[in-house]
Amino acid sequence: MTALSRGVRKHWQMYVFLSPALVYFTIFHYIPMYGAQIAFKNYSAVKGIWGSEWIGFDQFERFFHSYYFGLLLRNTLQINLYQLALFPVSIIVALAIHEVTRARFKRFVQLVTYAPHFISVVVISGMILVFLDPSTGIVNSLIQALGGEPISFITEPGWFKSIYVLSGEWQNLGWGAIIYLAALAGINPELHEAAQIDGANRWQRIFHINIPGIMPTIIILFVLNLGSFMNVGFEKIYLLQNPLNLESSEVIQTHVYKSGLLQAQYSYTAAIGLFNNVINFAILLTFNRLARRSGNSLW
Amino acid sequence: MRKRTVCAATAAVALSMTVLAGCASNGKEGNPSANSAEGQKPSAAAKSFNETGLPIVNQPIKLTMMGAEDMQRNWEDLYFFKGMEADTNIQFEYMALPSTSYSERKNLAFASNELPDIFFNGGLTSNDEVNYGAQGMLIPLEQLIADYAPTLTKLFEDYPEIRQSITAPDGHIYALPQIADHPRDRFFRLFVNGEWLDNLKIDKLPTTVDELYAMLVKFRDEDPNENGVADEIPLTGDNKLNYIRPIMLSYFGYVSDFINVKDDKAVFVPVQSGYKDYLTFMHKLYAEKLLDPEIFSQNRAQMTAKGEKELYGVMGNSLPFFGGKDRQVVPNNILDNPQMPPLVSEAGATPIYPERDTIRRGMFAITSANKYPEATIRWLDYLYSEEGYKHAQYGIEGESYRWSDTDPKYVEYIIPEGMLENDFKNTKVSNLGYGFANEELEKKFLNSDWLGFVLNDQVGQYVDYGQKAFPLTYFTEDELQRVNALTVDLQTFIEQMEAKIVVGQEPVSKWDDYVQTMNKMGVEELVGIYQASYDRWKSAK
Repeated sequence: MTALSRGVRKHWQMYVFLSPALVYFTIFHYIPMYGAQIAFKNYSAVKGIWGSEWIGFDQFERFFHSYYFGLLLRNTLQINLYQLALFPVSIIVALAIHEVTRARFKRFVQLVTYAPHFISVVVISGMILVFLDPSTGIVNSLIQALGGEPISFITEPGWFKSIYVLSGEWQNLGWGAIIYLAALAGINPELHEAAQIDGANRWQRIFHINIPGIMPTIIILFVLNLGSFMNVGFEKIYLLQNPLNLESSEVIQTHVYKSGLLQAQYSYTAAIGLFNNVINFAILLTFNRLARRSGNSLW
Repeated sequence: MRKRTVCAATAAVALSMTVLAGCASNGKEGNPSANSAEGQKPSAAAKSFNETGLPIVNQPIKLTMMGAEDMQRNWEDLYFFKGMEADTNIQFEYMALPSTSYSERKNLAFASNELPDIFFNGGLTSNDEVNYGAQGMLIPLEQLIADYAPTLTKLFEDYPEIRQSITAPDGHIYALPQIADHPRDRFFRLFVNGEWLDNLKIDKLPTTVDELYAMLVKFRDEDPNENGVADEIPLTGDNKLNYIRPIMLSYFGYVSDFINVKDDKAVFVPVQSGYKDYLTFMHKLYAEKLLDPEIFSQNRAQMTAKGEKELYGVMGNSLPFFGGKDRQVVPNNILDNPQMPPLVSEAGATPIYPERDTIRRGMFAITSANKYPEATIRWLDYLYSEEGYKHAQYGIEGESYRWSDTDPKYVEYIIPEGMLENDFKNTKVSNLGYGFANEELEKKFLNSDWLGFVLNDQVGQYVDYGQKAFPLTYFTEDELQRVNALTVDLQTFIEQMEAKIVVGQEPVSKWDDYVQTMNKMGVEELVGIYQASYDRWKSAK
């Protein structure tokens, strides 16, 4: 009897709990992966995924040689680096909320910061377009009232990434803070009592107790974040796009939508998607290895 | 945790695949009709099927129908389909999708081989016809038409260019067109605000580009809306520059913004010097605040709102919006606001004007999922008849319309209390897709002051100068792959370049660099392919 089957017999309840997740991921995530082969094929719906003929790396070559390859890659990377640079914001918000002692006020702040998370992307994009309108938008009215010239935010390529990233940060900052708040609540209060007796002030307690206390959570979330590094939320970009900001708003995901779903070039876009995910996977592996040195890796 | 992460990283690959996952088995079983109509076996249907006369089938059959729908109507409630069903005994299960997501859903239906029995208002592109026709997902119709469709056969005889325009390179017909043989639909319109013309005492419309410019300057400077504020926007158009671009380009020698046929030669317009002149002119308009500053970012509702505030002088749109509801009354909105005649950039030259095809391809098609192709083609054939047209436009006599007591008689809608005629027509009758219509047919039903007739009367100034950009041709499968690969990038590039130059982010002199880039992106190959398809079309004539 092997060690595994002994383990299964002994802890069979655990395996019962595990099985739905296992079944779900196998059926909906692993099995469909066989379809990724169309990236190397000339896919035709009638011939099916297995029946379409192999064409090797042609689709990849076409993507690498396409005129927009450099631009797509640059925009995708820039937007993600921008987002990544704002990664600490949720942590700071969580630390700040945690320091609030009045329970009612704390709950109020928490509600206000995470409420925008529930607004749909379409509505958010509509709000952005209305608020930033050069002639009727509230932002430009304000700028004009202060004596400035109105700025056409949405058609200025230079503004696009900031609008996209900052509005996303505003929308998700409270939500992102929730996990950190939970981690902060799990820190042993005795540590704080002991520090207070030793005469540590608030800053010292934050830097020496709270931050080290949630460090494992921070690292895990950071690595997870990197796992989706090359993925930009498609809907919002697409909704905010126009020909004037295209040079800074066209990303891999919008390109895939335009040539895949609208032009029905499935093999080509599968190749792009695969390329994207291979990069993601490589980044994830690299950073997980780095994280392992701190003892907080994913695996 | 660990399993989750691996999956998260690969989920995106899976995402595109899951959609496609189901189809391989479906396709291989060779029975794509699994999702088709309920109940009857084909043999039973064959007995029930009538080769001529009505109903088409004695026992009702039910088919699935997919199509684009923009007014959020329930197709089962439309008098059009009800009337067709009463006459033919063919029922449908409807999948009506908003056009914003329609092409996506249509492509997925093909990619997963989960097809409806029939596409109606199907928006099939020539690519779809060639591709999915060759793959067997759309069935060839020409034999069915010859056997069961006398109305269509007659129509093909009367208008030989229809057959020429809908026959794919492999010799088959995979989709049927809508024939909207209306003068009013053949031309784009540039309306001029009639009230502003009166206020500024301009009694002659421009004939050259310079005169147009001078008129726009007057609109900007002389407060034609008489509100004491310089808020006038002299020129605008629907959907970015897409509506006015072909009109403006025609002033500089081209009637297309992509490929134009000139003396039997395919020409790629954005690299021609006429295109540079167009860009220069548009940039001048934009820089001098003669062109709507928000034309690249606004949507239709925003444009209409500005129009209703009386801000616009010249508007490229199917109807003018030069003020509130009182100035949108039919037909005065057309009669009071003249349309810009064709212009030339050099005085004395002969103008040209873009003319659209009245054949709209890819409207109706029968798929391989359909078990009753004979009955379906008869249903479609009926749609092209006068009876079918009547159902499509007016519904059912005695229920949605009746004849007036006047002489001559015309159709009056039976409108429920509290509903506007247009709303009733659009939401309850159809306004969706007839097969064939022309003015002669419409005159049998409609009062002579109807808007469409008014618009028909207005096209006289264009008819002599109308030119079509490119005939309705098809590409072969191989050509198609190349065209698709080249076109996405080129179109993105052109749209971006145009916008940048027009607003002045880049100087017009940069256009020469752009031409080189476009050439590198494969213009020559693309023109070659278009030329080949044109030559085939020409020789088929």
